[in-house]
Amino acid sequence: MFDKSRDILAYHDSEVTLPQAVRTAMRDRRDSNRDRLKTQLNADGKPLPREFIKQGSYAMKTMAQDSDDDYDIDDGVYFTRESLQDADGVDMAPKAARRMVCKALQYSRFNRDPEVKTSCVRIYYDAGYHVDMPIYRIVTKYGYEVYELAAGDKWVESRAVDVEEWFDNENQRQSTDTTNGRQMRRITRLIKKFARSRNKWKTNIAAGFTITKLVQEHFSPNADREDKAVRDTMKNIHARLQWNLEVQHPVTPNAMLTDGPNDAKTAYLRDRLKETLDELAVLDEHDCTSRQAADAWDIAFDTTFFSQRVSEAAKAANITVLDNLLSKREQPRQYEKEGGGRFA
Amino acid sequence: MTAGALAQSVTAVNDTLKAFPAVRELTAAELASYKSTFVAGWEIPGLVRDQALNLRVLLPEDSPFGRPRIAVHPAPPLLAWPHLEEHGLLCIVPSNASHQLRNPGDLAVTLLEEGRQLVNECLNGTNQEDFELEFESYWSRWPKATARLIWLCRHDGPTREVFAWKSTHGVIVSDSPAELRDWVRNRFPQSSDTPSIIAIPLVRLDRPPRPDRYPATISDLLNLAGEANAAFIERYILGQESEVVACVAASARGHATFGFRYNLTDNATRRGGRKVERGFRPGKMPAKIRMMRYRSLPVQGARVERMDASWIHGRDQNEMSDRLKTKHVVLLGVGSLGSGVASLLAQTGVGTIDLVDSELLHSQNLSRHELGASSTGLKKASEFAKSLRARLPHLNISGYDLDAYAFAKQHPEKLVEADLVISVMGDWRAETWLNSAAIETRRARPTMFTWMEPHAAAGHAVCVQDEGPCFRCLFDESGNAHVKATKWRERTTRDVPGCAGSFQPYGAIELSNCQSLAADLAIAALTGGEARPVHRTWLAREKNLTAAGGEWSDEWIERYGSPNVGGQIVEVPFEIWSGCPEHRKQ
Repeated sequence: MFDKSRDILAYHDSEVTLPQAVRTAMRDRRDSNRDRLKTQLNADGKPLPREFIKQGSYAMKTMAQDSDDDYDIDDGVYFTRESLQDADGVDMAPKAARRMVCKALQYSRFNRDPEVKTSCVRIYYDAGYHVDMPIYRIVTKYGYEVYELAAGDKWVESRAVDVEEWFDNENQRQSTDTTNGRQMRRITRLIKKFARSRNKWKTNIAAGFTITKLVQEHFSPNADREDKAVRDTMKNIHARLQWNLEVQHPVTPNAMLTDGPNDAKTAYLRDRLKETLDELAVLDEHDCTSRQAADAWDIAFDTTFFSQRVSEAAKAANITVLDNLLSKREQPRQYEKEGGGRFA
Repeated sequence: MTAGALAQSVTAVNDTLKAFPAVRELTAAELASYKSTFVAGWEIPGLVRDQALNLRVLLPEDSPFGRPRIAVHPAPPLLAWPHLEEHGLLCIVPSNASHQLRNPGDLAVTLLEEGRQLVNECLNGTNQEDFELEFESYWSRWPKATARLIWLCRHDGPTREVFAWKSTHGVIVSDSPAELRDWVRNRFPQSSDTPSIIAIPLVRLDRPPRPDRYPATISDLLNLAGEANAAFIERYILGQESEVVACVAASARGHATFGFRYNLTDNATRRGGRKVERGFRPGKMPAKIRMMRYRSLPVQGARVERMDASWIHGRDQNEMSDRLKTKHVVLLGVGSLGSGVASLLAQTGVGTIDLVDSELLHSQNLSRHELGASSTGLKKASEFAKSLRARLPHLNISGYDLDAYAFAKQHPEKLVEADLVISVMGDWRAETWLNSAAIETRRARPTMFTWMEPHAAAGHAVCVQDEGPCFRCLFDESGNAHVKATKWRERTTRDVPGCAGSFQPYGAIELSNCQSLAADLAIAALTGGEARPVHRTWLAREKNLTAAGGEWSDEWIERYGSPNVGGQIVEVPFEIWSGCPEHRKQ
């Protein structure tokens, strides 16, 4: 296979992983929301959360850059059960809890007001970016603390907080390296980036968490070749989806990430993987050129990054070639400025 | 005829350039965009500091005889960089350079490297001084330099008032009204216009301006000129005497001359009043406000065509030019030899030349005279003077349709005062008279005599001073030279139908050597290079001498040695002849 490992790593570092400045901005917004929530709940005489715990792709650090800045941060708000009971010990309804949090998050500077959703409160920022704050209550069962999500009209046990731990453990266990987030995390980001590379795919393709689970299941590590790792993982996922489109939640027992055995979104992912793997077949041809390999990866990720790198490398090499050609000239003096000393 | 060589050249350059990993052949449309006949081209990115710029190698249709050109793409605007031509072509090698033809690929690579260095220097801004050193190349490319100045002034003087005439040919500028009138009369003899002469400022700047300082308005011009010069220019603007400014500035490569025109009267309102006077009664606007309003008016650049002596006779690098400009030569005889000598003296820059000859030009003279068919039947002296004045209008050239005696009678002072009198008459009677007159009047300055032997196989130029040998010292009583260079088996003069009609056969080529012999000695005499009596002889190639039926004379061989194959100038001893009638008189 034509070696584009360095280009894949460069693509990941440049175009996939979130720049630190973006992560910092996200964290700052998250912290502002937390502070605003606590302040307003206090002012309203409402119960205060015991803690906040980040969750989702933001917590797992598997977010990939999005051309529309369509990022979704999940920041869980955790109340004790007791704090959500009234004077008579009656539990606050899930919807009421969400409304309470939503009201406390209102802020005159938002262009769009926060909204109560089925399982969270959503705070909107410009350019499609939003923060979801699911509301949890901490319940003691059998001597253990259990977290219940305010989902719809019910309090539903949820182990979202365990997802981050699950991913970190798997990343450490399966990756052969220890730097740059480790390889499984990088491959997760790359395949999520692939899945959202075309606007028309975004709403039709499997969710990011589903993809994360599939990568964890079928990750193909390669210490020396990042390009092989991503392609082989894609192959593995495609093969898996060909016989089973259902994906289980990694930590919540009996919970599924997909919608039945014929889940349309995982099927869509399967079909897009097939097309892409067909395009990448050129990498295995014995006379595959650097330009052809770059073009194939460009198609895979719907980008011009790889071909531009080929052009840039060629450009950079031109100056060295010129020096070489100059040194090989038959004679250094190629012309006489004064025409050989003849005049008329 | 050279299609095969072109094809090989294209292949060779292509084979060389394909070593670049990123190289692209130019399309036919891209080649056509250069408005020159380039038949092949290649673009190579990544060679210069700005990665957005690419270099191109362009092969002309006469390659390999014609050199490749290097261009930068996309092209910066003209005048953004020195050495940048239209369409991004780079001026790397002078047009008169020679190059090796064997390996077009190597040449292309060399020029590519020089183009790379040039572009990087332009990007770094380290060669901006070249805008000053090669000022005229950039000034002529400035779109606003559309006016024309014809320059007759001294280039090395200070800021001063000079004089101008606005003609249909451009504005002619001179240090004196008299010089301006003479020049116009010489240059445009057919014109019936009387020059209307105005005074204008000529300002000397410290250095030629760079394109970013080319003025768009009068205000810009005054800023460029500097405070003292600006005040000087303002006097003329306010006086509305002129709408022209002439400028000169020295650089390491010589003097740059340029100018400006502006229009103070173009500023009229629809009712015929002047916008610049808006708000004031006519004639009541304070000068300060008027000047302030004038400052915003646009200026037009003027390209200069220098027609002054210093430029024409050596591009300011001929030390003799100034000296020769002041010299006066009387040239007696404007025949085949004399017309050529006169032409050479004028081209060398002798300031005043009086041509004297009473004869008419005939058609049989055309093959070896400076004049042409349009002058046949006309007097040689005045006609040739007119021709020389039109060719070099800054010189003072007069024609006198007189023989030498009549000229001496009518203009005796000229023969006395001239820095050099040259006889090109080849006439014993006239020349002995001239020789005697020079001795009698104790003419302090040199007199020259020049003539040719048969078939112009030898030419003589003799310069006599107030003391020492004279013209007569070289000849016996009947006018035979004591020592001739050539001898002939048969009579060389040919006859034609006509009383005493005969001619000496020689052509323009043989003649030219004798003309340059005489002119060279004349210049030496004028510039003090020869302060003693001198006799120089041109000896033609022996092959030509033999072909014409002649041979070297025994006397010459005995006295001065054999000329052998000839084709040389020799200086022979020139001494007083004891039998010279003039010296015996004394």
